[in-house]
Amino acid sequence: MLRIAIVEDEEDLRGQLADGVRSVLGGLEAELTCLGNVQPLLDACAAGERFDLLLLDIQLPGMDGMSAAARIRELDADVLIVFVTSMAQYAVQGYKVDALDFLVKPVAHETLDACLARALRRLRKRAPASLSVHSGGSLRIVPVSSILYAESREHRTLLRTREEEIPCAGSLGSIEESLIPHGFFRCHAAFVVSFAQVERLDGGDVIVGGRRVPLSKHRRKQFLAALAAYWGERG
Amino acid sequence: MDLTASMVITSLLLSLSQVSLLFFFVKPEQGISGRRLALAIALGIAGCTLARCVETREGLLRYASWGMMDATLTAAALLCRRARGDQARGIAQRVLCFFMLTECTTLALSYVCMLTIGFDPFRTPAFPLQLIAIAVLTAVHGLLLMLAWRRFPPEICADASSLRFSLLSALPYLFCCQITYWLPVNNTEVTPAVPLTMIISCALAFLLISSMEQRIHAEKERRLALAQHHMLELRQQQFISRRDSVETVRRTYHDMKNLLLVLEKASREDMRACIEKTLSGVQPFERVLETGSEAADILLGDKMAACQKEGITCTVMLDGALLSFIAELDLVTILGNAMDNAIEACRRMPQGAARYIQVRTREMPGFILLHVVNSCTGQARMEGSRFLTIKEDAENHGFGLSSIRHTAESYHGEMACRMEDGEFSLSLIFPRGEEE
Repeated sequence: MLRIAIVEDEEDLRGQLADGVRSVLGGLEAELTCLGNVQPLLDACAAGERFDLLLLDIQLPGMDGMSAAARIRELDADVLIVFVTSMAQYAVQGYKVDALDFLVKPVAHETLDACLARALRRLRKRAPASLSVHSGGSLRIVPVSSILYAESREHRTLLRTREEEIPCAGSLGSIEESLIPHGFFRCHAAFVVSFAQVERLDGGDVIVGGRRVPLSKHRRKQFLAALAAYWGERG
Repeated sequence: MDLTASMVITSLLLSLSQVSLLFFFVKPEQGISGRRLALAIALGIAGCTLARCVETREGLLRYASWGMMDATLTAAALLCRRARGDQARGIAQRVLCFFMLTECTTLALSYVCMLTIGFDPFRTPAFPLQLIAIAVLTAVHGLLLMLAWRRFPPEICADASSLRFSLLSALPYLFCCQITYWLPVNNTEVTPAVPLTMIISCALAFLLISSMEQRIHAEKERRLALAQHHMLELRQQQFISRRDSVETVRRTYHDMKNLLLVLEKASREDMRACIEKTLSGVQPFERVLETGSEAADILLGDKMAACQKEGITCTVMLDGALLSFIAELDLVTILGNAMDNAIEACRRMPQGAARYIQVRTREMPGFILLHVVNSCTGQARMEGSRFLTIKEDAENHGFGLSSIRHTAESYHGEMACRMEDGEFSLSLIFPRGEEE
């Protein structure tokens, strides 16, 4: 179920926005929390509650929407933040809190539609996935988000997670096939890395979760382009 | 040398020429493993040799050998291209087209040849049998082609220049493989000298075509580069003159504003209203954007004004300081081209649909990202099993894309485009620490 919070101080605007969101979401199951200021939202986030999407006004009584977003971002790196405001000049600051979008009031229905469609697409792509592998005669379920890379070493296929190394049946190619939809890339003949875990490039290597993985020279271009596209659709 | 050995050697040499021609035709992929390439070559040669040995027999077997040759060569072609899905079908389709063409010519040539030596091929007792064999062969080929055509979108094959070259590369093949029909010998009498001559002529034809292709390609590139260079200069010149005028206007605006504010305090009620009106009139010359990069401010300011005119919602979430490693004029090239493409795409949106452009930067520990997203009319497309292949039509999305890519590459960056659910997104990535 989607958890959406709307923070807007003017009551009728808040109602309009909530109605707009509901009509765009249609049959999707969603829990809408409508607030007049950010304090309850901050408290909820600090208490560990997680939202999928926040629609924030900037001009608010008490703390303004931008600082609140910065605070929330510290607590929750994943939440999607959309500003809904009449203060267009703040839009440029949106990058600071990694905002998804910046809607200027009054919000047209199709603009809200497009924005929410994008938000839903992101959420769908982030949905937790897992990979089931045959390992040592038993079936293991490995969450995809924990995988750093898959490696083929001495005719064995190994799945490297943050904690351990899981030997698994099947070729690297077959593992690659099932990992690619989740944002993985064959960066070397013997390695398939997770884009989500790529930290940086260092010479001819990729640093993945603190580990070094070789990046083939002729795959570098493709790797970077695919990485750019990956962050383009998820970031 | 006894006849069988000579025949086998001849067949081997002939097959070699055929396989080498085929490789020219499909162009083996870069970075393919040596083992795979060797396997493909071995398969091609073995299959063709076997087929050629069988070919000297008469009747149905002869036609079966043709089919066998085609099958092995197609398999070899697919092996030497690590192709999947659409691409594999495309190659199979092209190779089959190629064989259809060569086989029809072979047949026509052999009949013409028989007629010239005074032998009427239509009156031989084997003719009905041959006719059946050919009908079956053509039907199978036609069926395969039709299947390939059905399941494979024709736009990739429809690339006119690549199709032309596919046909052109069939010419040396035809010349070399079919020349035997014009020699006063039959298949069993072909000595190794004949295929050797063929291989030499084959190599010459090969060189000719490949150099021609290279030339044409180079010429195309040169023209494109020239046009791009021209565009680039134009844009940069525009930017420089724009920057100068912005500078002047801003200075004048500043002076005027101060003057008006002083006057406003000192003057009467009616004059005050008038001054207030003038002040709000010059308001648009206030800096619209404060990204931290002057080039981005000016350029995006202009583009945002253009967006406003078109009814496009343009959101800029940009940290100019993050892009400070890019020279001003290069940034103008990147952002200018990206924005022009985006505005153009939004303009083509039907009435009532959302028109939006979003420009954003993103900072990651090891990378700097720049995304330009816009609404567009294109339908969502599956991109096969690959996580990312840059589609041909994304490539043609705008003239500016390649100059964005070139500029990004000069900073060791890369570009990716993607079209999904009515949204076109252009992403640039720059690895940190390499941007200088």
